[in-house]
Amino acid sequence: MSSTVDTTNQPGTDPRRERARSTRRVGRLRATLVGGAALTSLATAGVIAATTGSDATASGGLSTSDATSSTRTSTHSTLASTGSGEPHATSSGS
Amino acid sequence: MAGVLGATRDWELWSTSCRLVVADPLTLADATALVDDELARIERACSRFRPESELMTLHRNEEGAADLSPLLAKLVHAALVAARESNGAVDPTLGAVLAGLGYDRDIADVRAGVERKPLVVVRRHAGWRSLRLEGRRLLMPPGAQLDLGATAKAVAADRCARLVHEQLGTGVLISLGGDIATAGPTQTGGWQVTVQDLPCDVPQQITVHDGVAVTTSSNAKRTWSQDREPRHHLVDPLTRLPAAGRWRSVTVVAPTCLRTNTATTAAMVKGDDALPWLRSTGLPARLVSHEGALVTLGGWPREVAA
Repeated sequence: MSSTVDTTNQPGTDPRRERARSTRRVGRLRATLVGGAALTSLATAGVIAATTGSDATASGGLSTSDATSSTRTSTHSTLASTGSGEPHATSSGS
Repeated sequence: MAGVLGATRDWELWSTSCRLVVADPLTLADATALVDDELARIERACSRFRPESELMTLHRNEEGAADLSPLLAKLVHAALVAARESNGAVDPTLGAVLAGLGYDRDIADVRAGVERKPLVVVRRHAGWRSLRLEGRRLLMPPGAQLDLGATAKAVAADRCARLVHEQLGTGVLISLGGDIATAGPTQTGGWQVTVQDLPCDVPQQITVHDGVAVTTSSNAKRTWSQDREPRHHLVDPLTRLPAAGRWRSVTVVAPTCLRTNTATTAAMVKGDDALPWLRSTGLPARLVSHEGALVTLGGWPREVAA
């Protein structure tokens, strides 16, 4: 399984800030892909038990790494965080 | 079951798995009664598979108007909200299309081949914009057949969670198939939800806070075959066929199941257009492709190895 974090920008940004941001984003994307590769190998081995870290990090875990979308996303970022402990329910298709 | 989770009841309804969790174990019996009663009311109002339901016995006057019960009016209103928010990707007027595709009975009977029916091509459907709800009066064109299945189940989850919390004061989680609604606090600082569509998928556990909903839509579960063609229940209103997009399952977190279900269903239908559309909603989302590739956006919690 491969893993991708969506980092696409929202429209209507300042072009100068956007260029600077794009430069930074390249680094983040590379790191994300590295993280994705690691995740893939571990997932295949079936050792992923839980998740950690709910903030945007250098390893590119979240789409909120895009500052343009952070305003919109921050509204919802508190809706869910990484979990641990005994689950109450499973979300799957019906 | 009781313990740190509170008390739990699992059962089957509408050919899917349901779960009720209450933070206060002493409220489980009363919560069960409230939920069962509410779900029965919703089924009597809008089931497409019960000939005697209000939806299937609607009487329209000469102008095509029908007076709805307060509950059915709310369910139709919710369906129209979903249609508007999804730009028509979630359309409540696909009843005849679904029936033509063979999904005209409970899915268990469809799979069992009871009264198996050949393909009936429905070349057009009324479309959600043809409906007008004025208070409790619904105007719809001749031949329009409603299917409120997706949004009604979502609204049912929202209503049951709110009802139990308001009446009994306990924190509650209710899961109806892919729709999970919560209300009130847990003892453990958030509701723990494992996101996993198929057993072969890598699970991810997330914490959702009080009053937050989670829905997963999938085209891998509610499936059947018709004239040897594989079918599933998520129909694209543009093609009037099961959606053939790139996603196998989509999970979204939002304040209500109506919103999460609308977002996940629409994303499944929109296929390649799902990502920009979901991005525009700002909601945390997790999409799994048919090949198993994973995409997250909107602040979905990071997935890392233990």
